[in-house]
Amino acid sequence: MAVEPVKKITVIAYKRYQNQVVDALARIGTVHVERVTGPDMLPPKELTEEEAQASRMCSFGVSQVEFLLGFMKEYQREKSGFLSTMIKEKYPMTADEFMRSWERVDLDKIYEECSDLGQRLIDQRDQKERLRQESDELERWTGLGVPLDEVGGGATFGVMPVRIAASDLEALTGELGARAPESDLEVVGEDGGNVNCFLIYHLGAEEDVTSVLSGCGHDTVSLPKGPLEPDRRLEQVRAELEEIGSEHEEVLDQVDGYREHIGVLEVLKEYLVNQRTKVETMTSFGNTRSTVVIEGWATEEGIEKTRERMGKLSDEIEVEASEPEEGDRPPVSLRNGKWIRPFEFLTRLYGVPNNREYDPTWLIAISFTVFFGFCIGDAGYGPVILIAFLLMRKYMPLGENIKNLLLVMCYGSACALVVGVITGSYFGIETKYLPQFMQSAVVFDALEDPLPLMGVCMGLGLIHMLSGTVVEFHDNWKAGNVADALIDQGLTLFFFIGTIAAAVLAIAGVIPVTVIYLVAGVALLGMIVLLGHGAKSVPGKAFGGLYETYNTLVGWLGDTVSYVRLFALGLATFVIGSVINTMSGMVRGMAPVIGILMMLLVLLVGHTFNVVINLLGAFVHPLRLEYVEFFGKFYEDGGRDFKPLQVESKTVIIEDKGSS
Amino acid sequence: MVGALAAAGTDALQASTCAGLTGWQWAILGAALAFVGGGMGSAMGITYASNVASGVLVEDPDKFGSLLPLIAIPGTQGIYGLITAILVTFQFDLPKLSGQTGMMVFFACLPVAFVCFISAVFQGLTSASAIGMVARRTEELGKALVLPALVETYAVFSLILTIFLFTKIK
Repeated sequence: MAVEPVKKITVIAYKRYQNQVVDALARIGTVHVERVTGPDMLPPKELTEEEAQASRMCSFGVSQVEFLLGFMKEYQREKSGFLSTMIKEKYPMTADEFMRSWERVDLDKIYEECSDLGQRLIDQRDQKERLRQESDELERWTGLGVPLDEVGGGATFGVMPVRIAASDLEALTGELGARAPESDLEVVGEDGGNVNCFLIYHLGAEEDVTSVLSGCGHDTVSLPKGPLEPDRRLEQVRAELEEIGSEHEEVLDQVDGYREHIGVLEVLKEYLVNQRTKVETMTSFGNTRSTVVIEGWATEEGIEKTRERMGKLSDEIEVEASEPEEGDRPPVSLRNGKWIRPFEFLTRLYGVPNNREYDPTWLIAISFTVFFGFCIGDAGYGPVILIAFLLMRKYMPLGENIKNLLLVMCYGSACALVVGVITGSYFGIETKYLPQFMQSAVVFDALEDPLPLMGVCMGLGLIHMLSGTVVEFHDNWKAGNVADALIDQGLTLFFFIGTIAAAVLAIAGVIPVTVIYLVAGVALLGMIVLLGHGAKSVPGKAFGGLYETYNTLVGWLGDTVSYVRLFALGLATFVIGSVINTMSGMVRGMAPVIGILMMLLVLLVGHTFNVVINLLGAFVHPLRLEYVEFFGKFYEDGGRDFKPLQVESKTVIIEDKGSS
Repeated sequence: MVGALAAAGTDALQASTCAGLTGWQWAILGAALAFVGGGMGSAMGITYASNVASGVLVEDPDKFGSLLPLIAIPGTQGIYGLITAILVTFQFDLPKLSGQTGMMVFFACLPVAFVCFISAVFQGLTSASAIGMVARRTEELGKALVLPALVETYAVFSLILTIFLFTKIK
């Protein structure tokens, strides 16, 4: 339950072992690698041409895979459902299988074939678009009856397809008759408010015709060329469109055929990224004429494991360990017991503690579980969430982080069961409708008398914040800042714990009530006098103490009231559940059989919604209480997370991770 | 006889009104206003956050899981409004409420109605900024969640005050 001490580790090996050493270290995941600098070293290692080429090939491979995955997603016929976008598919496998990912698929071949298919799809799309435009135009000229090649005209006459507004037709006809009598305007068809016309004119009158047309806003139409009449060409275009459509479907079928490789490609991408990282890590190594020096940090257990693994590789590989020196800033490795470890991600989410700090994960584990339980606070929802998440953990291939999150929520759901029993909340059913034995277990009625439960929440908050103050007391004391520990934290603890203890004893009749005031008064006086000890001047000390005392009391009051959100969120779960039950009762009476089905549907959908929406709140709000109210009392963070060189994966689950 | 009874009933009703509304009407008005404030604020807040999240998701759809809590946070004020409205119906015998008590219930609902409305809108804006932070640095999700949660403190306080006032009115 603490920050695990780490030691400096140095692995020295002949250059011929370099790749094997890096592979082995990545496999066992024990060493947090640092850049090596030192007077005995040559300049930091640069990648050889071969290594740089390998890194480039990995990057190229990653881009190929990304193209293929994007391509298959773009031309996917059935779009992914909501759940599959939320929960990405995971691929469990051993480390050996992962390292042989590249053998399972011929990436270059698939890339080439898919690129061809992609180009064909683009060509088909362009061709379809062009034919569709042609078809749209031809549909307006089906009554023309003249081969398209002849639309341009002959040696002595010109032919022009024209589109004008129907309202302008009469004026145009009149104008042409007056100014260009050697022309004829024939209406071919109507299209909305426009008229498609066919204008024949003698070439000698071309200037007059053009002048008339420009005076009466017309659209110049550009018809395609060809030996066929528009109606026959239209039939031909439609047939071509149909043909392209079926060809397009065939190509999409072929693309679908490649979808079976998606899993392998996703694994391959992670493999390539890991290979590239491994090669790039080599630039951190120290370099002599014939050896490479790998320096970093490892735990005691990690050092032993590394020694054992390197010994198996060769006797010529040296592993040395030493204590951190003055000025070193080792990374922080959290080490907690089996039950607490799933909560470590909550600490990491904020930032790991620095080396001088206490690891608060076990305190977070207890408080987060209780707070989560209060936020859900229902003896019906609690077991449902618990069973659902346990089944998900057991049967779904999930990443380590998601599994930890689900386990954390499972603990919280078990707590929700207890809170639900004492508050009489079962799927939002009102207490008066519960069986007698359930009613008799109710301690707090949040609806009828909410104040006691609000008080419990504030009490929990006070305990939570006091535990944070104790941690800060411990950190200060350990760091040798005894005065800070006794004054800054000790007096606050004395004020709250002393006053509460005196109040309890006074209520029990052991001590008189005046002792409560005496204890609180002494603590307050001590705070006013001493809390300003950081100031340099005497007035600063005097007023600083008063100001700090005021700040402390107001801050603690505000923070304590903030914990009432637990009550509010628990009440929200109950109230929404209750509304859903009322709604289901209303729909039940609508029709004899359908009413019951509707009622079941409303209950199922409504309660699922209630669970989902409250799970969100039950995660976010306790987290805020941890990060703001609790961490605010002691936590500094600023540590570097211990990140050993190892296989990093989002979609692949390495089943034998860390085994040598 | 019947006329006398009817007159007495009318007098009793007039006596139980306050500023022209009966206790029941005042209480229902307060309950409705509490939910209208919370609900409208939540809807606006979620819209602000969703607009920014949509832009992020276009670039990186895999961030949906990380962004969802930030989008949903401003929704809590609507729930607080609903709690208040339901509590009005649970905690008070509405048909028997006097005009003056009903008016007190109405005023007790106002902290939730106004504070939840304003805080949800501003929480939505804070969430939108936090979403921008997560878009650039996903590992800072923990800190990004805290920022909008700070704004909600005052919505929680308003609910506490409203519930506290209800217990005093009872």
